[in-house]
Amino acid sequence: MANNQVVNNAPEVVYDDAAIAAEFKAKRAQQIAEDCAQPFDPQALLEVRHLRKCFPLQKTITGKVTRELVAVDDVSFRLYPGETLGIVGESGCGKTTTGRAILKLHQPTGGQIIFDGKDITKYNSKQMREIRKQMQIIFQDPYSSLPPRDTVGGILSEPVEVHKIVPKNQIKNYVLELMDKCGLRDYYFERYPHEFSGGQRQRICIARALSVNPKLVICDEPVSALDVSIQAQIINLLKQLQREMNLAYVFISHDLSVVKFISDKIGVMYLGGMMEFGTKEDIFNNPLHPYTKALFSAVPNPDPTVKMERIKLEGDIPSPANPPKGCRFHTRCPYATEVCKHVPPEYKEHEPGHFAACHLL
Amino acid sequence: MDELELKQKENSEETPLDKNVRLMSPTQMLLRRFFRSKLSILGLVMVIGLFLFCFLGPVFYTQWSETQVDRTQRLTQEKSSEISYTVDGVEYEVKQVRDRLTSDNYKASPSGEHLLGTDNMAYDVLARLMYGGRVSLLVSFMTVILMTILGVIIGGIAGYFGGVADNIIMRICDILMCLPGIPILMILSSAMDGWVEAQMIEEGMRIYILMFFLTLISWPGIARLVRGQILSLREQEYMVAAEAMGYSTSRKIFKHLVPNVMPQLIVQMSLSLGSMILYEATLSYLNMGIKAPYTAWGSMINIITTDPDILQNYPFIWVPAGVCIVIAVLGFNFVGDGLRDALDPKARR
Amino acid sequence: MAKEKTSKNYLSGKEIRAISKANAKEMKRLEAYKKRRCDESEFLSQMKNNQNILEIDDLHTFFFTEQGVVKAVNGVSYDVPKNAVVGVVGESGCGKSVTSMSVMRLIQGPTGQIVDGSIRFKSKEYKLDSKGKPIPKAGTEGEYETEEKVYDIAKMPTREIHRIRGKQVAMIFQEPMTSLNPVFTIGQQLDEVTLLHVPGATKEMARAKSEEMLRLVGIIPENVYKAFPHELSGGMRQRVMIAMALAAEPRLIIADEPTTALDVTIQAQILDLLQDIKNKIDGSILLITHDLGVIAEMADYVVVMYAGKVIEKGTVYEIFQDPRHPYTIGLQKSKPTMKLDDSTELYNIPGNVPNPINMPSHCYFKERCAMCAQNGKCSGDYPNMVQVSPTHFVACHLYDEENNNG
Repeated sequence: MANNQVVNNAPEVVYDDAAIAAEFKAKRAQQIAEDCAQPFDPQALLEVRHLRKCFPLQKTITGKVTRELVAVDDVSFRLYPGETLGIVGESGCGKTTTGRAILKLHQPTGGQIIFDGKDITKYNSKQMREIRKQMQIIFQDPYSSLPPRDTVGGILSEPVEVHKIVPKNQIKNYVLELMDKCGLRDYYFERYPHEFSGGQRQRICIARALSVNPKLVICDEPVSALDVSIQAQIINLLKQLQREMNLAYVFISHDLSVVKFISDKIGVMYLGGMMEFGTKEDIFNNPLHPYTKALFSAVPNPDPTVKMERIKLEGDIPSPANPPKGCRFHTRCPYATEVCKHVPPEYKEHEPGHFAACHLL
Repeated sequence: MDELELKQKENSEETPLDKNVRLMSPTQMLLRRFFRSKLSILGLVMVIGLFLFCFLGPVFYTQWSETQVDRTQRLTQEKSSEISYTVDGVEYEVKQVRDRLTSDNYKASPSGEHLLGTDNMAYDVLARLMYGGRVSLLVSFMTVILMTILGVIIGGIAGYFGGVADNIIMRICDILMCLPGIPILMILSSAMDGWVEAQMIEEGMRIYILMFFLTLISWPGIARLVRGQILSLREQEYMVAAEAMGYSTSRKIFKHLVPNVMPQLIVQMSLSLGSMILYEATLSYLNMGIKAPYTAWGSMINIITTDPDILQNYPFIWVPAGVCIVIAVLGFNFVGDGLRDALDPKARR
Repeated sequence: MAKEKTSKNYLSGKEIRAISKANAKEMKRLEAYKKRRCDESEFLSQMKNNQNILEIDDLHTFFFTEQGVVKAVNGVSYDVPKNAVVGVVGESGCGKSVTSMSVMRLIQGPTGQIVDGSIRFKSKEYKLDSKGKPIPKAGTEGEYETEEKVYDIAKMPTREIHRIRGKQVAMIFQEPMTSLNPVFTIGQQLDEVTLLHVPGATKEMARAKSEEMLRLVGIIPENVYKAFPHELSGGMRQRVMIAMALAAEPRLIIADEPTTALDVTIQAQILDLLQDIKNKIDGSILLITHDLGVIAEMADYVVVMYAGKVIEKGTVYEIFQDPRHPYTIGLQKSKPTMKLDDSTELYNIPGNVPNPINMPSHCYFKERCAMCAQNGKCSGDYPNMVQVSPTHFVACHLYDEENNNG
């Protein structure tokens, strides 16, 4: 790495962490204010601007937060109808929180969420209820995400009934049609979720999410709990439904190979921050960030003849409650320099549509 | 019509593998688990038996009613003195026996007339056992139901809304749980003596009022249970899914949360039934319960405090009531335990 | 109508009673068999091939549930050669974990029982003198004479299991969060292994051994020895688990999904560590996983399981480069790879794993198979194992003798 060399030979710089942090904060506040004042992109279905979500860890008696966990820190992206955005990252990187904050299942601490031309960040729960049928979520665990005491038919009819998607006397036909679309047999209608395998349950979850004709579906690790052969079925089903219903997906996963298959754009997250963002081709053909490269090489290759050289990441993922100063990845980065330890890198566009946050670029 | 089409569709396809597999329905599984334990069957038999005894018994046992005194006069022989002396090496014993005609047939031993005998007021013990059981069971049922309603509402508010409401309610629970039940009820009962004298309330209402107060201080157990359940259920993904579906708050609570709290609630209710019967018995025994001519199981045991002779020589007057209380408490506890095991398979071993 | 439906979908009370009666009888018999007292000679056995350390032969492990008998392991046979890594791969519910639990005899009774078959394990034990004390090796200190014995684990009574459990066969579990006891320090838990399994071990010896093991798994002992499990991250805990498994110098390590609960980058670290350790220790590893990538990197031999049966086994090259069984082929095709291609559909095996109760008599994979032979053989008996090369076996009618000849 050329940059690496330059910095090492430079005269020793003394970093004043407090000053750097203050400067960074001020700069970012200005940036956020500027960006949030911009007009909305009329084509975009979902626009997320500088999303931030903190969870309080410690409170004083008066309710003032003294310590907090920044689960999502400054995440921005745009999603157009019919597109899939893949979010990849390891545990604790904030990918799930991002998904839930978009649905406002967590109230964002900062930033803007613009859905279908409306800023829904400040919507109250009653206003949200109307929006809810346009954005849905599929969860990782198909076992806990279905109510255990209801039949499949009941589970699928309820949202249709509540949101009055079709007249009451047509509900059953509508649901049966939907079940057929999701590869569920019609006699499942009167059975209970506990009688099904993981794959079938995940199909029920998908059918439930699609029962209200959403435009956007957040898929929160929908295939991680499933077997390989079932995984492929579910991914194909999701892709097929996307074509048929012109759905937009935010596909959250820790599995790069799955994300690669389904996504148009990919965002790589680490410890709450977006590390790299770009189209699938950008990310896979030309990964810029060292973390992305390391993630690629960590995936075990199902071919015994190829022995890959790994970019080894030392150590563990730091706790999100206590992230490292400077670049959040510097503790494990094989190319980390002195700058990385003190100055947070700027998240900027390196090629058109290809963003990354690294000092070495 | 729909179903007919459905059926045709099913038959036209080749039967898939999983179609042949038949499992147990949720109800079947629950019943199976419940009846696997011998103790829960025993408990169920005990509870049902008691109910039949108390509510159907009087229909068949019509000779005596609760307040009917056996007025048959009876000749009793009372020993009044006993002297023994010796004359010429022969021992003589002189007993003086007095015949007395009693006005009522009291403390009669079990016989064909009175299957369990009569008590000191010449009431039929068996009849009173049945009628007293009605009072005991009714009072404890009402208390438990009232307590559960209170607990579910208050605990539900605390669990679902959280925050300040939760904090306040839980602190109230803490305080109420510190209060000693029996002493407070004793104080209340003596206060009630005044009200009874002033004819503000009827004497017969005393036990009902006392148990109502008991409800007011014993809901925290249920409230805590409900709150805990709701807190853990809220974290379940299907509740998040319900939220994401945009269901209204009342729908979420009544359609999704409450049915899932029910199992634990039923278990808790059946366990509290046992303890409520004990409470009722205790209050009655302490002479705070129902007064003659009416009775309850506790009051029937209370008879022994009036006359030590009964405790010693007439066990048939008070033992049956005690046995009934034991059967009721054990039965409800067995059923509760059985339900708990049946509803929560993970808790088994 | 509704009533009729229910009765069709669910078991009737009569059937349930019949099932539970049959189960109770069978479970009672097997429990009694496990509790019996018997002489050592009854469970001593001989290896078929002396190069093997573990031979599983026609193992049947059933679970007697209320809804019917679940044949979780239904006639599984495979061998683990000395100093080799054998990977067992299959989807959830295929019986791969139950097989390994049967080897450890950790199947939860009375519902779960080893019904039939044998598990022959060649154990290396301390030679005992007439008083039952180990005989010290001449000229060394703290070392003892050893001898090799072959046990049939399936026939061992429960009270004799301590001879192999932990000492001869160690296990690494999937969930590093819950497999360590939270109230003891890492050091205490590690020392315990040595103190238990090495005769005459002192505390100092145990500590020295523990620290050596921690170093072996890439942990600096000073930082971790006195720590409690909750202070460590997932990856570190899994390292500790590996150290614990290694501490008794077992002949066989069963790693049950050792990396499934970990993040990719941590998984890569653990895999590197296992690779490294595999060359350093004198023992075999039985690696159980659903991840084909992990198997390809780690294993020498691969066993593919489906619905309680072994459907294909061979060396890692044979399985990955020349897979024969339609399921193995499908499994490899349906795994999305890191290579960027423009295919819109991912290959997938249709359908679901059949319910383990009421398995059909024909090939279990028939309903999902894309290559099902048309001659109706697939609807016939369950296929036998066919040898396609000296080390490669497959259970599929496509490779039956006559097909090969014709």
